[in-house]
Amino acid sequence: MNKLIIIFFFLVKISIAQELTILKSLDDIRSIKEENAGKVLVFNFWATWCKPCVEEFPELIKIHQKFKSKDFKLIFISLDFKEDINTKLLPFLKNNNVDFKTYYLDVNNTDDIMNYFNVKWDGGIPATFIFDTSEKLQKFILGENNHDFFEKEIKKFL
Amino acid sequence: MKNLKIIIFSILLIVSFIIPIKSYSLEPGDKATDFKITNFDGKTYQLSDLKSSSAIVVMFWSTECPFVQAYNDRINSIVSSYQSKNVVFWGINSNNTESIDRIKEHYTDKKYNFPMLKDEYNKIADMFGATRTPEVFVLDNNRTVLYHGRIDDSRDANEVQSTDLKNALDEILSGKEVTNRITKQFGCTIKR
Repeated sequence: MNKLIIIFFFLVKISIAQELTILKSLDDIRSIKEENAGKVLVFNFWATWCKPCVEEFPELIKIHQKFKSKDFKLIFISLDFKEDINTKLLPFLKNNNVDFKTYYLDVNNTDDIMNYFNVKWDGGIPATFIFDTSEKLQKFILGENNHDFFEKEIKKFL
Repeated sequence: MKNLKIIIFSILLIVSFIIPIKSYSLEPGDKATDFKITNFDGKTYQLSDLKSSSAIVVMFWSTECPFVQAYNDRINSIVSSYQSKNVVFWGINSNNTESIDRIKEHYTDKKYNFPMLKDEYNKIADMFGATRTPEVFVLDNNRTVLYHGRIDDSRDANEVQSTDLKNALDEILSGKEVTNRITKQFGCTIKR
């Protein structure tokens, strides 16, 4: 019986192993939007080196749990330093039980990415962008927010 | 009476569309509002006092942001190179999460060769529309913005391909127009 319990927890642990996808270009970001056409899309740019991002992260995980069965997708894009991927980023995702695909941005021309999301965005993080089901940017949020704020904003477009 | 209410409402509605919401930062060509700070170092700093400088570099800074810390050595080297050419550098810490004591301690520890001003209540950050650290504005001695953006294009000094701030300063000192007047970079948001 004990063995069965151990095997069960082992399998659960595997099932929540996170998947990190590397984004190499603006086209990769456009592809995410195409793959999720018709959904409310929330892009969150964050990093483990960014304290408010780390504080905000669990709030967004709650949002993911709340809306994942609806036409909704949360896209985390990490801006962690390369040398921190294995030591900080992946352990952080694991500790936060992230069981869905998240992304890592590895591009040279970051200006293009920022301007694509919003020309007003100068690159500060956390930065969150809410797109409606027609792929129109509805909200650009700079700085940390909580679950209640995100829920209120996202509900407007679901 | 009802018509008057409708007229007033209509005027307010029109005005709300005409008056832009201030959300953009100062950009090249804009003139920065003058400001004066009596700083924790006991000195007074006023932009309009710098009329004889070749250029003024205003850098929004942080004691905590890892992106800023990556520039600690590089910025002292840049400042050394250009101070002799009459370029004035001011660091501005606008984060309401960073105390004067912490800024002083960090300043001493990093041996900065330029003053660091504490921007109480984010007044200067608001005037410039600065949102990030590190974020740099270069002004002429009449406070007109000539460059807005990053110091260079990589946190890792060994991977820098474009020394944007230096390029802008070199062009300004040669009397040329700045080629890349606006650049961007990821960084920490200024805590207001």
